[in-house]
Amino acid sequence: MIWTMLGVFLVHVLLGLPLFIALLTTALVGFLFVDPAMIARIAPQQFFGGINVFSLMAIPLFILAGNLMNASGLTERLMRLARLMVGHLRGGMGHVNVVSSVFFAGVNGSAVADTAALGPLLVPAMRKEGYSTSFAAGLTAGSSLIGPIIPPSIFMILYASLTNTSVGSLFLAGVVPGLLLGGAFMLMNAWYARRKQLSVRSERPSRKEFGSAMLGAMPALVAPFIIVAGIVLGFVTPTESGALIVAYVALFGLMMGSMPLARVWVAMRETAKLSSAIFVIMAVSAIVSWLLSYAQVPAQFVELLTPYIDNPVMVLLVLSAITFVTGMFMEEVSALMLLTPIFIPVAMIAGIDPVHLGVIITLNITIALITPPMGACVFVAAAVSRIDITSLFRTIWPFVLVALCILLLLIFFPALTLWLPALLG
Amino acid sequence: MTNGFAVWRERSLTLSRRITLWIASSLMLATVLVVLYGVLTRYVLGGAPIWMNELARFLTIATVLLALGAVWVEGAHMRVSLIERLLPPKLVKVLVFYQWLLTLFLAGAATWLSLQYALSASMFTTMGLGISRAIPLMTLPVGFALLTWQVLCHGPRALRTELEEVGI
Amino acid sequence: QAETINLSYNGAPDLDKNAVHVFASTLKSLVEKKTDGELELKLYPNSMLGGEQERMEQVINAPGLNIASFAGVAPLIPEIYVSAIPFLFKDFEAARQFFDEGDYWKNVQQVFSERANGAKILAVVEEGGFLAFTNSVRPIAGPEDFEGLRFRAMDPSQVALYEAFGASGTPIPWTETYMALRTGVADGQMNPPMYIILGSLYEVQKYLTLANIQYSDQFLVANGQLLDSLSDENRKALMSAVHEANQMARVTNQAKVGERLAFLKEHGMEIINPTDANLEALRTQGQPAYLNWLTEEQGIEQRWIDMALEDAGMTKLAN
Ligand code: NA
Ligand code: NA
Repeated sequence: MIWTMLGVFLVHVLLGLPLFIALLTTALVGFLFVDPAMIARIAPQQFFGGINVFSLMAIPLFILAGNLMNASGLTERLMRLARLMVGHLRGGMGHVNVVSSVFFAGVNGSAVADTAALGPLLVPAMRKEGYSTSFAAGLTAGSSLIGPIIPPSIFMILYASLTNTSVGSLFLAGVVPGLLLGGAFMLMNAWYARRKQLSVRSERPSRKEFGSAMLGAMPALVAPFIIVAGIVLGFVTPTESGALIVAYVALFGLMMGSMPLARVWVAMRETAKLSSAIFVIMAVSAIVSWLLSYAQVPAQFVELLTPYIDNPVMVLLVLSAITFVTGMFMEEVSALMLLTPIFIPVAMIAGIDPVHLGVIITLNITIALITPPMGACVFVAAAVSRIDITSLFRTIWPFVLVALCILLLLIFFPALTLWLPALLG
Repeated sequence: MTNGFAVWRERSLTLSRRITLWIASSLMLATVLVVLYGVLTRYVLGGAPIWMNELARFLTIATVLLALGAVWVEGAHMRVSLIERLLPPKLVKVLVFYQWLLTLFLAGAATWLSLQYALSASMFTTMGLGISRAIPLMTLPVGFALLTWQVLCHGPRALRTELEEVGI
Repeated sequence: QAETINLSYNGAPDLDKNAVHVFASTLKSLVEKKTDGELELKLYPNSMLGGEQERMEQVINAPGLNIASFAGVAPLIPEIYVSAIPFLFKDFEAARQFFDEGDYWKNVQQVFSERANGAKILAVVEEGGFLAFTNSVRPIAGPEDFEGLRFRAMDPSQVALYEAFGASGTPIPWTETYMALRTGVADGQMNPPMYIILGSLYEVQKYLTLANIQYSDQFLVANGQLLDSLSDENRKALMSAVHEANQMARVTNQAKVGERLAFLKEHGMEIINPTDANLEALRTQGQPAYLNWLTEEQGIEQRWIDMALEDAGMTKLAN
């Protein structure tokens, strides 16, 4: 049954059907194996149940916050600050790219939004500084992975809702890994700039310039602290923090006069569309996930991994490898929805902290965004850099490798994720 | 195909898209306001109304389902369109027809099944708003009916592919 | 040829930590023994087949068994909240008698069956003892000790209860409760010892008051067509297996409560046993708020409340 379902799914994805249709077809075939009479009862129920979860409502809200950031000009202010901070170094624009992603990540919960928002401005600027287009596009896609690791994070919200884990703890656990990723990409950029002998262009900014840029970007810089503090201290739920940030960015934009109402409306519409595309996948994945549970796939999976269950590192490595391969061929939200319920029983028995597992899975799923042949961030980066996708897929591997190194680091040193939640939680 | 039909088809597609997206965006805005209202009452009045959580969920689900068809027409559902560029035109035509037929069938079936399901759940009262569970569930058949209608109107034509895949 | 029946419930398949799983796995072995393997139970823990609402819909519409919490049963029969009136039972004995022999419960079972397409509530499954108050500020012995404290509330009925004692209640999801208690956003909460251990709340709470607030229970529900389809012999075997499993689960559960309290004490919690006078004070001050919530917010008819109070031997309650 599993293999037939997998086959049907892959064929329909390759045939170019929208993913939710491919998943729906897969579910249909699955029901034929189990009991066709169940379709009428279970399919609509799980479709509705899969998205009828309050914490998931944070997802459209954080997408909206990101869209409003762009509409209100806050994103550009963040980039200006990044330029003044690291722009004067060798390979300055590459550093600016990474640092902007770190800043932007504090409000934005999605990697594609990062690529789409920052790429069009940064890739041309990097090219002007002597970067190859493929490295510029690659760094844009690679550094966008920081978006879902530094809080807020759409993947983490989804994981938390599937596993009853604290979103607050997960968000805190993502901070150090996110900064590590940023550091790793900056090192990579510095190495590239050195090898290519890129010239140092801009001058060191004056203290005054720096101060004014800092002040201008401040509203966006404090946003992540509001989000994390609000959730961790229990003042607001993740969903509520999403609404607060939306209101905060909207008020800021409207008061500064940098955002006409018409753009707010466009941001709403784009958010509704993207949310629809994401939620329908979550809803349909819930049907497939139910079928897998009903066929007791999670229990079989536990049995399969029983020989290694005493060794958490080994278990995490196996789970990561499975996620990596799945992520190559599957859209990320559905991969997360289908794998998490299968992994959780194994991880519990192996004694892996659910928060740690959440960060590992999130990073894995995020890396899948830049791996061929279905890496959404690469597609967007290629589109905004006007570069051929296949050639970008050839040059993306070093970036994947760097991210995988960080992943391994986290697997071997769980303290990197768990230290901050333990300290502040 | 007559010219008149083509014009009518484009018009009705555009109109359906505009109206559904307009309502969906309004519901989106309403969700934000409801959640904010919940936070506000909790800190000003000391307790958030219990229906807040449920209303936000139902509004979002309605947003998502209303926009479903419009997103499909715009070709903005996540998909991989690689094969359409590799196949010879004749086969692409067959493929597009299969895509269309399957989507139409599933959308139609989903409309019917979710309608039956919504009606069968009327015995439950929701915990927050205290309304019949059938009411929020009705957004499913409505959304799928809109999708069916838009797929039918669109006909077996290739979907737009500005971006091969849009994800989060 | 064995007939397989699905049994779904929430919580991990852990005999140590999940009282519902203790019941489910006992039931499984008893049913298989008593029917000579003609009936076979397949266990679906961890809400694998869906949340409370989804599982309830499944058990109403298709053959199967489901152990539902209040969240699963109440959308069909809100009258079940009456059985959760705070301080209704003195001890396990009283609570068990209430469900085993009382008129209120028989009526609930009947109305449930009418509304649920013939599905039946077969057993009231003990989940982890009685709910107890915990907090990190001061030992609570009576109502006056609540003054000014902030509590994590699970639902509006709990908010009403806290407010009746002069404290305040904020709804905080279970997953964020530990953090909220640790950072002082809430001073206290109420839960059975099992959940206090599961959520590591003893790390962030100092005082535990054994006030027998509410009996902590879930409900075994069977699909109507399934029961009708069984042979008389198998149905009888199933029923007696349910009864036996429930008795055994009660014994295990009660023993566990003692062990768990000892564990909590060992981990630094101070355990408070309020005097009878204080319990009475808690009851007279707390119950009206909850009863008001029942009639005003949930729209429940007075006769259900009267019936339940009568069954619990509390006819002369101040209301
Ligand atoms: Na970037
Ligand atoms: Na983020």
